[in-house]
Amino acid sequence: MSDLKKFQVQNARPLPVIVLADTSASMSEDGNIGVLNGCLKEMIASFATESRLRAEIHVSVIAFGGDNAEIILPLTPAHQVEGDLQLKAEGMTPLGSALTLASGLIENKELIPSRAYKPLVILLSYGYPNDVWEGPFERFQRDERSSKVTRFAMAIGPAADEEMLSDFANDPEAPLFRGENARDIHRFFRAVTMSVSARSQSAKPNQSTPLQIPENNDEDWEF
Amino acid sequence: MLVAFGASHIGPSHKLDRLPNQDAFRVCQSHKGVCVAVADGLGSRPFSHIGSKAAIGLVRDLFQSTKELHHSQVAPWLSKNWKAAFNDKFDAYETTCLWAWVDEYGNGVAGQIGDGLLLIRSEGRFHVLTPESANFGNQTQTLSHESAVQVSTNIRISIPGDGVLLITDGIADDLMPDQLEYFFDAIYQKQSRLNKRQMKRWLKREMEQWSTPLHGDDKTIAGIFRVE
Repeated sequence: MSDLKKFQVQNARPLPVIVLADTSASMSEDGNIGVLNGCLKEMIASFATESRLRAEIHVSVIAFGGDNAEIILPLTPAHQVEGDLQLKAEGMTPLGSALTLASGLIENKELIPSRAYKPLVILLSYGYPNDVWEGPFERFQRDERSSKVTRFAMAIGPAADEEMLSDFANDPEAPLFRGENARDIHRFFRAVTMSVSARSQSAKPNQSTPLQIPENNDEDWEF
Repeated sequence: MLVAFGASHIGPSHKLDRLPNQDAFRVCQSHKGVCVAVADGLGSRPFSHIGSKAAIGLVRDLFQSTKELHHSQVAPWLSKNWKAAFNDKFDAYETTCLWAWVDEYGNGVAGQIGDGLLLIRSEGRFHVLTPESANFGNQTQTLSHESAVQVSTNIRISIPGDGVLLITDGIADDLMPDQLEYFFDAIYQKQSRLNKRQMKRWLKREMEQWSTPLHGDDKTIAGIFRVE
């Protein structure tokens, strides 16, 4: 019997994945919000069934629509997430509020301990935020811990604000993905799911894996 | 009496991927006193198992040499000579390093570059010398950055129960922060009852039986204690 077991943490190292989802009124176009809900459900289900070989994937979803961002799903081990997320598209695009919530989560060592693997933050948006977002974004890039996370971004729609979203994406393996429709949202989520799953099973879970967007002619994307 | 010990165990993920143990440790005793060192080669670098061995070899060389360096000069010396060992093409060999040595009276130095834990009980008082990190797991500075030294200090191991423990992150990240002193005491109690070989075997068995779910990293520990 081990003499040292009583000093050992009995939780697996988490790999946090934080989704910042644009739920402004623009997302109601072309049924995008319905597709986003389906994609989130599929991604979380996929994370939940991973073998959890090296890391336990924890997921949080922050929606930004209406007047303020809201934590729809607090950081939770994927295999413990219950029920479906039903995001609704309405109102403005308060990205600054979402970044402030995400910063608070990442800087909180009770929620994300130092032993956690490097978090991944995923932003999906049309861009064009209409709250004060520059300050929160600057702090997000500068603060002690949030400056170290990996950031992926997807621009939704041909008129998306690519400049801001390109600045957000900071992983050379995963430049801004430009999507035009619901199918592209699904392709992006499939790539993210594969990338995170590969990290969670790797001997080096901190190392980014390339974001390989599936070909556009891929089938099997209905929900 | 001063005793030194150490052990290392390859992590399950490296075993599964048929990679070598990238950690290394060294324990040496001479007329000058007792010296221990541990190093953790970066998982992302292909030859880091060679880099970690080179690091602990340099600690031994410095301890055994006639150089009398101030504690603050140890990290720069190690960094400079470690880089020189690879003709300054060291990117594939990156490693952390923790070191401690004391003379027969228990006076010496300790230091750390990169992650891991450096624990000490000096004159009966326990201290965690490693500062709290703002990094996430497996993000670390390395020996190639002498300015990244996290700990550099004189140490004194003067009474029975005093000692110093060097631990790589495969162990350090899975220890409960509020249990570190009890962990230190448990290791001391064991060392005071076992000889060197038995201690190494016990440590290896503890590392083989590590209980944190999904743990995968190499694990290494080394230390010096003053016993009755």
